[in-house]
Amino acid sequence: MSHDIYVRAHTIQLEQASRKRPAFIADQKCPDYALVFDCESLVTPDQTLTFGFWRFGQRRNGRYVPLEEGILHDDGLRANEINLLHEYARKYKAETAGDGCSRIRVYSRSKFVTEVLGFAIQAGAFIVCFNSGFDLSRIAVDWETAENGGWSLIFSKWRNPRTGEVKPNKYFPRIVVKALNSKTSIIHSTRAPMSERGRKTKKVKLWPSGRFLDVRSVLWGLRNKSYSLRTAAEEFKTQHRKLDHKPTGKVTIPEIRYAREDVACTVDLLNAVIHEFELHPIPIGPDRVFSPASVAKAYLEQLNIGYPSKKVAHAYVQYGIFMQSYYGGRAECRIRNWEVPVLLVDFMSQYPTVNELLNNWSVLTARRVTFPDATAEVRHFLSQITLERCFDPEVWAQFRFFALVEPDDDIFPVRTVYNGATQNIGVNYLTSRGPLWFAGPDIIASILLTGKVPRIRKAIRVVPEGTQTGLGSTNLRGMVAIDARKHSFFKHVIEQRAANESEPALHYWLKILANSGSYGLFVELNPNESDNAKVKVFAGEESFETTSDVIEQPGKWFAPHIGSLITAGGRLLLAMLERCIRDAGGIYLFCDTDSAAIVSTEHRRRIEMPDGAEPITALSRHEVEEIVQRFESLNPYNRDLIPGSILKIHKLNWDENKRPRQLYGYGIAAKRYALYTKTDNDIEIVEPKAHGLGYFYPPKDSAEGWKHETPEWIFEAWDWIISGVLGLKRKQPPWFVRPVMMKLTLSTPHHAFRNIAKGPLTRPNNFMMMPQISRFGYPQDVDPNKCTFITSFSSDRDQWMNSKCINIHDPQSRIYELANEYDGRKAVPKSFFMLLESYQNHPEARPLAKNDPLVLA
Amino acid sequence: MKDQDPRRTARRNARRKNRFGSNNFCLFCGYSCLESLTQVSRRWLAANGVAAELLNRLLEDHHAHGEAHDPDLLVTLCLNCHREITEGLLREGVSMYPETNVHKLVALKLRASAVLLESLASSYRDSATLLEESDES
Repeated sequence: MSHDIYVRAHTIQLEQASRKRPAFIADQKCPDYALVFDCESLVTPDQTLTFGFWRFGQRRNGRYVPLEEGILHDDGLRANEINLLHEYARKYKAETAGDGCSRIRVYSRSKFVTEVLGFAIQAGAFIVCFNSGFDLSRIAVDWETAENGGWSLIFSKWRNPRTGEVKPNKYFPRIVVKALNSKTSIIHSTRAPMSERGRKTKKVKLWPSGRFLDVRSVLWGLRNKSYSLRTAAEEFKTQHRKLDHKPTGKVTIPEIRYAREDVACTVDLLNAVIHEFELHPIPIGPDRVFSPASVAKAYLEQLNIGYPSKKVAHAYVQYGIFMQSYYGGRAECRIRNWEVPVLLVDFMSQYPTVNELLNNWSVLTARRVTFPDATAEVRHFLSQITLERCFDPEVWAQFRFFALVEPDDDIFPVRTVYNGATQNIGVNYLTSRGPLWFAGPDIIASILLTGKVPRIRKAIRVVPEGTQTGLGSTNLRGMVAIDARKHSFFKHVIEQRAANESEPALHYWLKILANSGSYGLFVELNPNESDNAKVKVFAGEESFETTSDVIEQPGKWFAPHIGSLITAGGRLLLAMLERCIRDAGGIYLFCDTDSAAIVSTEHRRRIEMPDGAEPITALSRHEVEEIVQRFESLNPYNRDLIPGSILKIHKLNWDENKRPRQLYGYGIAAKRYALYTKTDNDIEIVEPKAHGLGYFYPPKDSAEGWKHETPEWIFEAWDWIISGVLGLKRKQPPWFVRPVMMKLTLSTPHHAFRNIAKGPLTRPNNFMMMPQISRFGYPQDVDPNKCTFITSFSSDRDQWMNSKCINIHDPQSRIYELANEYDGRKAVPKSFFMLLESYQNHPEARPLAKNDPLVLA
Repeated sequence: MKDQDPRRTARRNARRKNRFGSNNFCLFCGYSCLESLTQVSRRWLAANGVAAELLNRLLEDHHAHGEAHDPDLLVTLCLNCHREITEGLLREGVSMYPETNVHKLVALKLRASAVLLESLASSYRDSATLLEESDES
């Protein structure tokens, strides 16, 4: 079949307007003061502010000590509710230090903004919340789309006495919240003028930049875990904890106590988080930590490693080549809808290992990196490639090249529309009329899998020249010495992780550092909205100019020559594993980036396949162990610390008593599989994949003390699917009848929401629900292609069917109700039963058959 | 010393830090409390008629209740102590602007006296300790 394919490109913006960047106070990692606040809101869709608590504290002996405490309330709160807040404030003393203010202040929202938030910004204090986007949006009076595509929150307005027009107060800063993902946002305040220009001096004093610290973001950066206030308080064993109270949206004494405790808990967490942060000798403050990669990048800066873009001269064309060669990890399902016995194996720290094998540290620390032509040399090198040679670690450094290939029945990663609807990447037989650039490891993988060398038209090598000066040293988490002149970061972190197993916190964090500092930062591209900006596109060696509404801004550590080789190296390891399995006469159920489930039993045996298909062979456990052993030669680490092979038999293959157990696997499509154990009449799910399910709001909460990262309902869903396939007795979980809902946070001013941008549901960062409508369940007065229902957020699953929805594509949308039966007027949502029915019939759209190769038009 | 309005204190500190830098100190005695420092140069002092031999013991009049509330009640303080006690008044919430409401005025005077008395108490304690130590020696 003939396909159009899609490749990545490198873009640069032409005629880039100089943009004022907010200035950050850099003299102190943690300022002397902090304002911590938390807001309560109505439980109606608008989630308008009701009241909140705040504490203003000073840093003493490394901890923020509250000196002042107060309540803020909505300007329009009812008089009796305000009176209750005043009454509470009179009755109780502020929880402050001995020399602090002992009264609890009660301020309206507008007074809080000018006299607390404004003062805190001027004092250079941390403005601290747990999930800042939500709390800052509660106290905003208006909002617009910011230049960077985030929300520009307006806190103060004024009425022109002559015209009566109400406008944003230009003398009070706005706060811009740009969501990076569901866990973290970049927040800054604008440097608005504090007053009009002086008559004599003509000078304008500007507001200083605010320093915003979202405790949730810092936790994500330090622990690589997404915490709620409750789970974080439990984990850090804070003095104050979140109270067991369900918010009602009303101002009552229990609600006031709940809100007050939330702030006290946030202050405790702030101190705990900063204590942990200060273990890291890195040159940034905690307010600049947005992800684990922020910490990894700060360590590279601390080691004084120069940015990769400074080491290549005018490499736009080469960047176009590297980006064309760039694909993510390989994931595929080889045996669909048929149970097979398996043994799960995975590569240890795959990307750091690939970095070390390819000697990417020498590229990162080079004085200069060049990309000379190496066509003849690469052609010769490829003609010598065998599987055996790939097990020689000395040869791996020579895999650091890119080549222009004329694919002709070769196996390469391809990004195309396989299922007629969406783009996806698959590793396929490929024939193309036009040449394409691929990374060296991908070309070697093709040779291993096809047995023939692709036609190489041209090749370039990635050559590090010398070592940069000024490389430094530091202590990782204050405990592990690393010297960039002696150690490879990628190798040292993995080795030290093994050496520090007795220090659980350090051991765990080194794993986070290894993962976050080994790959993502080298391909970091931040999409920024733009208005028809002129860009130059570099794809392969070709370039052209065009316009775009989205500009991809490379991160400081962007290095596609490294990033592209890393994922290609990972795919090569999988290809080597595939060849080993194939040579032994076996097959795998699935592979997923760094792991594979090999069809295997205790003893080698034939397994019959359905529909008259050829039987397959399950390799014996011993044969798999032999394959695993072959990868020992590629272990680049200190064998005293990390002995054995880089390919490991996964711990899931042993039971709790460390005895080997037989796993079974059932795959529906790539990344949609589950592993389980079996008894005569029952199965136990061991490893279910949440891909394609995990983004729905859980129809039930996991049981108290649930130990797995994957929620309980995913286990139950897979148990139901596989029990059905195997003809075992199964019971439908009670949550099957619930409507399928997605939780949505309005974290960006998405185009579709602009229709109702000032509507009741769309205050920035509101939580909402998106019911999934069944195929024939749309009301008659809507076009299913222009219909996305949203409704207010509720964790009360029993109330989901009573939701009142609106269609975000229709500015004049009426209210739609949900119903189980279609009447033409109400919407019929998809139930979890319907979802799982379609889930288990999901097609695998990526073929890898010799008789069905991709032929590119 | 109690701080009834820590936010304003923080803002003043930030402004002073902005003005003086974060590591400044008094040229004469090494005093480094940012809240109390006043930025002058020897040249400025000389130009304002301060004799060279007096430079290390400058004294000022302090309005104990604030000039706006009682212009006649004066105590004499050194430059630093004057700044420190004025900071104390600000932290206590004693406005420097005239107050027409008699109840509020009396409250302000009581607060201002409390600040002065707290400072005196501290000073008397130090003096007593000094005397006791000199007797022992």
